[in-house]
Amino acid sequence: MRIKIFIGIICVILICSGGLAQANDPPQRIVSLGSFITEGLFLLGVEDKIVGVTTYCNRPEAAKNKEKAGSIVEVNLEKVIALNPDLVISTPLTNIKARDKIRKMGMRVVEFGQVRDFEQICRQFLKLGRLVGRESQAKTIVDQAKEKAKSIQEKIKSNPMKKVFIQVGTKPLFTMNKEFFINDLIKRAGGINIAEDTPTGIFSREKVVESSPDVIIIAGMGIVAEDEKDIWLRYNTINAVKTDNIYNIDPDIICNPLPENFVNMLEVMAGLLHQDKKGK
Amino acid sequence: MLQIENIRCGYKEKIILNDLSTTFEGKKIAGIIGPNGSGKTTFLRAITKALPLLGGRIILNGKDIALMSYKEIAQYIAVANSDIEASFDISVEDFVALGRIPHQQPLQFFENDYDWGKIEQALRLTDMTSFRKRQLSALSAGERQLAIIAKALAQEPKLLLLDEPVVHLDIAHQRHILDLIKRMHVENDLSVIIVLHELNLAAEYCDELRLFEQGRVFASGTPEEVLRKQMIETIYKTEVVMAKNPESGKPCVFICAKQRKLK
Amino acid sequence: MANSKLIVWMTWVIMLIVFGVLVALFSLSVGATNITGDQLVSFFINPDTASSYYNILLNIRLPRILLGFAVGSALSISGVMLQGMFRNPLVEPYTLGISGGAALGVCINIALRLNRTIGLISVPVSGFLGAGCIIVFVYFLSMHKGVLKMQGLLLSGVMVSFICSSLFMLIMALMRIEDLHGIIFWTMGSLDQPSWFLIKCMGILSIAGLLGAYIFCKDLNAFSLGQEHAHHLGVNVSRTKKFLFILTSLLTGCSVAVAGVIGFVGLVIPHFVRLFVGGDNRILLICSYLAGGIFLIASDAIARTIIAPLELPVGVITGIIGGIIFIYALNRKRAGV
Repeated sequence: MRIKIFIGIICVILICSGGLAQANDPPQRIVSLGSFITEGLFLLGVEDKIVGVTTYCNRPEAAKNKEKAGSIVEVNLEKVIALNPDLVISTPLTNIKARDKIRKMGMRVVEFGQVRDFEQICRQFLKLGRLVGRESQAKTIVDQAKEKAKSIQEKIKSNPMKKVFIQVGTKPLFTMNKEFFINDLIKRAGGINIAEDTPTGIFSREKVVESSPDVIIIAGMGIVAEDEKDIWLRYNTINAVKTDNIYNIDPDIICNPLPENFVNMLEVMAGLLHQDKKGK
Repeated sequence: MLQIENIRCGYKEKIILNDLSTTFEGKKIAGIIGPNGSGKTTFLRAITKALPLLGGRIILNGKDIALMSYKEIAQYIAVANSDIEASFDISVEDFVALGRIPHQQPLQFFENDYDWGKIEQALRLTDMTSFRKRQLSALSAGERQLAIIAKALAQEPKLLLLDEPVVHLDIAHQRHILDLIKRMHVENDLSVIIVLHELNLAAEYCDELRLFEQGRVFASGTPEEVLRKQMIETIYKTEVVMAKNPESGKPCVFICAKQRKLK
Repeated sequence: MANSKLIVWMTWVIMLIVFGVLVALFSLSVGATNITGDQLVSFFINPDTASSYYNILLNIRLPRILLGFAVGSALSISGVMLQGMFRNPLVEPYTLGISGGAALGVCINIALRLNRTIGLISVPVSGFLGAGCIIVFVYFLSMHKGVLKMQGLLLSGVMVSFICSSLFMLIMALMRIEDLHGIIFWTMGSLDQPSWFLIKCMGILSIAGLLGAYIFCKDLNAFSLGQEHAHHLGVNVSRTKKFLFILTSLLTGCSVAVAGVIGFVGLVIPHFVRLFVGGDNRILLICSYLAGGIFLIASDAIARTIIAPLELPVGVITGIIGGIIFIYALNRKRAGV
């Protein structure tokens, strides 16, 4: 009897340590359900471990060659099962039912939530590093990014703050409030997002005319920037219209919350907001 | 007045009138009788161009109706059916006023004094003046029939076509309406073509009768000439008994129940 | 007797015009931003053209009010004409498949990203072309030996409408996500950001539509007795049907192309107006025209303000309020008879 108990305890310890050991080994088959996650994995040098990406993952170029496991919102369950991953990373946009289903099937799913500012982006990237066993690379990248951000912010510290309106959707007019990291980007670049405190993303054009921002940035997917600019030009009492400060930027960049991307975007944004001073 | 020459007319599934010819002199009350399906209603439709002719022609007052516009025809001929259903509530007055449409100018949107004169007259002739503000749907069957005739009269027709106007009315209303028609005919020189199911009424009120059968005029003439036992029995395929109206002397057709015969 | 009717009619028209002006002013004064009474008055009398409120009133709110009137009135008289021709109270401009065609046209445009290559004007144009194709298709389906069959038209219209919806949903299922949002909002109807050119077009069309329809007001009255009786009254039934059909198609197709699918206006307004002024088309057309325009202006005002700064699609408001009005109208009718 006592021997049986002893063997039982040994088995349990072995199994647990086996499990722990397994948990400690970096994942070998990763499915990424977000384009920024894919890009992040490439940056950390673990691209060979990626077995599945989404149809929207197109940065870097090599990502396009990976197997497609679904779109940003829809996950192809059969495909994911067939790929037999040991780690699936989901985003806030991933279909919740699909995510739970994958979990129920015994696969490990790690959710990457909504990031609201630069700090959270960095923390999330570090988490990614830890997940795939590249913690030190992640730290390096994050530290570099933080340095660069600091220097950019220093340079424009003395400039006056500019009121900014960022348009990411049309019909209806859509902007980003403080729930989105774009808001932090604008603040760090020396701007004030006029829609910071708005409860949802839908914004009224009247309010834009009333607030009269100094800069309007058009950055939406599915928008024709020239047409939107033409519409804004009708409202000639807006500062941005009067001073010809309407710009459009590539929406892909603002959709990828990675430290390096953020900082690059910060540079561009600072340039747009403080044209005469920065001259970039 | 109205010449029908070898007309062919019908519907997609079937030709009803085949090579039909007849002439209406006018200034008469001409009755049309015949079994169900013999083409009476189709005939009326052909006259007003509601149904296109597949052959032959119809001459109205010297003009081929194929060359006349619907408006022209409506200025000459008015039609009164057995019942009407307006899709929205309409007062008797407004309903009768619709009869003025054929005579109004294209851009004349409202009735002028002359129109109102005719409308008043039509209401008076049919004794509907006190009903003028009532809704059409609130009238009894007999009153509604009078309104229909009033509308036809407001149309200032030279020829009035009536399609079984009394088929659903009690004898009092039947008499009232047919007396009215007769009076109109006499006082206003109105020509009338009337389709009737009731052979005895046809005999009583019509100056001439046409007996339709399978899309052609089987017989035409005075009621005495047309309403003969042999002819009726052949066309209607049923036994009848003939007699004379004790008051007017007009021929009458009676049917006897089968059981009685066997006795 | 004729005069008293005329006086009653004139009264209705004047009342509606006055009410309309009031509603328009009210709509002008409400919105996501606060505009005071003084600012509103000075907008008309002595505007400060450089101020933001002037810009808001002139370039954001006024275009919507004008377009709202043009579209609402056009849809409304289309409903009157169709209900008159079909003698069916459930018929409205969209029953014939027109909105389905327009929606499909816009959907294809957005899916193929034509608005990027051709420009923003391509959206209303594709809507109109879509509506046009469907109209022609349904029209020829229901023609028989040169005669337009009403029942056939209704059935064909309903069937084609279903097919269009299905195709529409098919394309939506295959679309990219970012385009999806735009197309969904369009199908719910919006008077947002109209260009002055489109407003002018729609306005002219709307007025021309009223004049064109009014020429046939007596014919429509005759139609209420049935086609055959209209015939006996000298109405050229087939010519009238064709003309009115084309007119309603034009009015509806353009409305949908410019403002998306705004439902219920064409169905409800004729019923509601009929309760008050009766079924004589000589007054029904004018009153429905005005009432339809006012209804849409009011609905848009509500859509813009009820949960500001969020803006609801105006089709949502017309649907809800329109539905309530329709039920009320039905009950009144039932009680009255």
